[in-house]
Amino acid sequence: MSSTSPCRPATLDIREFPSDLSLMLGLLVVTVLTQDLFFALLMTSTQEIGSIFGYLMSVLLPGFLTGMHINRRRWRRSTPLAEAPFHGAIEAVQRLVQEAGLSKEPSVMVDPRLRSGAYVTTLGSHPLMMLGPELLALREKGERGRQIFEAVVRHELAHLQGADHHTYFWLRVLRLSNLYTGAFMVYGATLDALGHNVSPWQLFAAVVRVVLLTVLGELIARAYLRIREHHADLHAGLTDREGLLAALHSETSGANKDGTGKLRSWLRHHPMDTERVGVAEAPGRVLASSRGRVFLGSTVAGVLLPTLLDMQLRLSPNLSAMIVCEAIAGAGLTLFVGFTLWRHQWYAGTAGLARSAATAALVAAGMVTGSWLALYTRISDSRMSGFPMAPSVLVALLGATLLLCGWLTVLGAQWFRGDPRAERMPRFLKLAVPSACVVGGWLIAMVWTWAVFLQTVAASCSMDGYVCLSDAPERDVAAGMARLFGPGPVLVMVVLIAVGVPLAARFRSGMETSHGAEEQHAPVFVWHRRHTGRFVRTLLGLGHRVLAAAASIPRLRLWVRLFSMTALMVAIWLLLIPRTALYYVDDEGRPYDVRVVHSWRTTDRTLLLGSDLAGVDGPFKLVTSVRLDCGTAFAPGADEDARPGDGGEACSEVETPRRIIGLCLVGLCVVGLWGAPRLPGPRVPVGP
Amino acid sequence: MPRNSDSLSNERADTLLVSPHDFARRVVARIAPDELPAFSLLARSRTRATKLRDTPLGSGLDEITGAVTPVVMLVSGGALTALAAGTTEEIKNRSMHLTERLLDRLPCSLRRRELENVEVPVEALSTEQLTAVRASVRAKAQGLGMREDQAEVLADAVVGELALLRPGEGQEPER
Repeated sequence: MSSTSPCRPATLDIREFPSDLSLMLGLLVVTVLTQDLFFALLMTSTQEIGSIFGYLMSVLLPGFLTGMHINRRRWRRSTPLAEAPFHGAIEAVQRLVQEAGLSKEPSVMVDPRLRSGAYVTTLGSHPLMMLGPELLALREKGERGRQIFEAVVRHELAHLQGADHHTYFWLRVLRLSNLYTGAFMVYGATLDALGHNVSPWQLFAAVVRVVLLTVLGELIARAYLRIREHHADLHAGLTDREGLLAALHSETSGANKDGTGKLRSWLRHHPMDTERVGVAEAPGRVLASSRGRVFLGSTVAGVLLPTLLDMQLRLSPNLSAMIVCEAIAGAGLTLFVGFTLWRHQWYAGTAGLARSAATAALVAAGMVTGSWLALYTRISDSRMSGFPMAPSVLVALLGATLLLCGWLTVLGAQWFRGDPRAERMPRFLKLAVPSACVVGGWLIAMVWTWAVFLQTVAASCSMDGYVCLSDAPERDVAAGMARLFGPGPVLVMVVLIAVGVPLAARFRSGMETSHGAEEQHAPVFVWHRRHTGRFVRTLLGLGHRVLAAAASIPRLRLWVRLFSMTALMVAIWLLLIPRTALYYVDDEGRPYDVRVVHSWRTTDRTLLLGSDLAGVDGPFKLVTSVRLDCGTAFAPGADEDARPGDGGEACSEVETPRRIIGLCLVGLCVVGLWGAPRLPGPRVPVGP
Repeated sequence: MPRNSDSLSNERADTLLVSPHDFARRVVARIAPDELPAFSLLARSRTRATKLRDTPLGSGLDEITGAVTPVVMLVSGGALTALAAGTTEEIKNRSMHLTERLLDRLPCSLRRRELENVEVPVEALSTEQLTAVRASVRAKAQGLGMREDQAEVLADAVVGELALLRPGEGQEPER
């Protein structure tokens, strides 16, 4: 292993590293949206998509409208910079905006409520940059004033370049929806308490959970915003580092400089001044991991798991779907932990097994804590509750996280040996991310399934009048888990991946040459040109021009990934959600007027109305109206065979278009996820 | 003009109604005439500002001092108010940080009172009072992040303008 010091990462391109905080924010977004969907499903009395969508909008719209209103109010109280008496600053801002090369130039305004501050926001889709009058006056106060002014404007332009104004807008929508649904749940619990359906203690617990869930969302959102501030600083420092440092040192608020109040630093949208100066002087510091952030990320994953699982059990109560759900959430958590450990590996230059063990303990603690915070699984019924506090499953969880973090650390260390400057980070991620998803997803799925089974058995055994079939439920559940996840092809595959990938990382990282670094910067078309003819080359050239134009879209890769994930979600909806067909049968026994409702939470999945009920004379077997469970797009419903004639035809009419569209969307998702890293994107080296 | 045109004589002969806004403008004209075109914007930033130290997606650098006008607004307003109340010691001992916080937290309706004319006992202004005002203004300006030499100049300008309010004193500075 090449010896490196903590100074070494300063020479790396930080943007090569995957962002652990973006992933943590992603976990938060999925969690909040799942909770919102849960709320919508809980509220709707019918199973119509329109009704669900309406309730979903009712929790998302307040944040949207609030954001629009605040931004509009800010715009109304400000005046365009062109109309303000700061002529030197006007020209300077125009020059800096042109230098930044933004796809959409912002409207620059003077906000009289600001002093020497500045911020960016958005009005609809149009970016706004607000500057304070004192900052504009500072531009005319000599060379140092000009440097500070330009550093601040560059910082704000970096926010616009990173599309942070859009991210923040949607973040506000989700944060308010989180608060809104939480408040509604508290309202519901209060009504229950007034009706003596729940005890005051349960009401208190619900209120505490809502508060903690809101605080959790806020802490994660603010941690993400703080890291974006560091990125904006580093971006601004690319052109004039001295100016940036002068601006950071010129901040006079003593509250920031004294470094007091660690707790307060977690509640801020900006890092403390000392921290900002530290990162501006040594950019590699942004790669260092934070124990608090690991705990937050694990906690939000702990909230997501039971919520997601509860919803899945309502929609499709089978074991395979449950394990798949757990594995997906587990893969997200694994990647977050992996990115954290790998970033720190390149920052510190050492494997840090002690840090790995501490991370494992924090992940385990966070998951347990988060599972007890999950509120939405308890309001409607108590099918799922927090992670069981049984020694066997807690030890299994800690063991699994220790194994996972240890393996992730070893994997990163093996690649680091051959690539200490992270010049081939995309290749490492290609190797590490899929394998980490498999290993982590499997481990988390195993532990969580164990927890669910143990919780179910424990809940059943504690019921009055229920005879527990086992003397030692913990032991029997553990034995059951060993049989379920024990020796078999899946376990063999996981073990092979766990052993083989670190070895592959060790050898591949050493074998790579500088040619790899060239390919990294080359567009995706390099590979195609070697295998295609003139016509295809022409088409690819056209495509290249389109992609070059698309490269100007800020965060194009992120948008493509988001689109792909959205396509996947819709595909899952279309393919895996069971449906019930409602139709009528004509005189020849053929179905007509086929309609669809969703099958969850309905017991009358098969309902036949005889023609005699409709006032028509004749035998009962003449059916006029049918409600038939068709199952999912791939699996037949339980009662589909009960109507061999019209049943199959009606279900085919329901499922075929969904199957085709769903598979197309899966294909689109695969193409999007495959192509996103290959898309051209702005690459800005942040090291000095 | 012994008394400035925007200063109004009170019914009591020994006092004068002075507009803090115009008083500050005259001080700015003395020490930073380049800021006069943007005086109304810069003056408003301190008299009506709410604290926006941690605006999301902001620079996070809301406390950088550079412009003189906001500091002049605060120190001259404080000096006039204290003279009107006859308590120069009060502003001398007051923590600037606390003052700034209080000003920022005042609702708009109350903050506007700062801009209302104050009754300054010009006849009774003694050399000791002016010396005390000078010291307090200098300390206050330094507390607001102004360099020592700038604070000295500012204190001299404020005291000079106060002295001009006295009957029989010199001319208004050229703008």
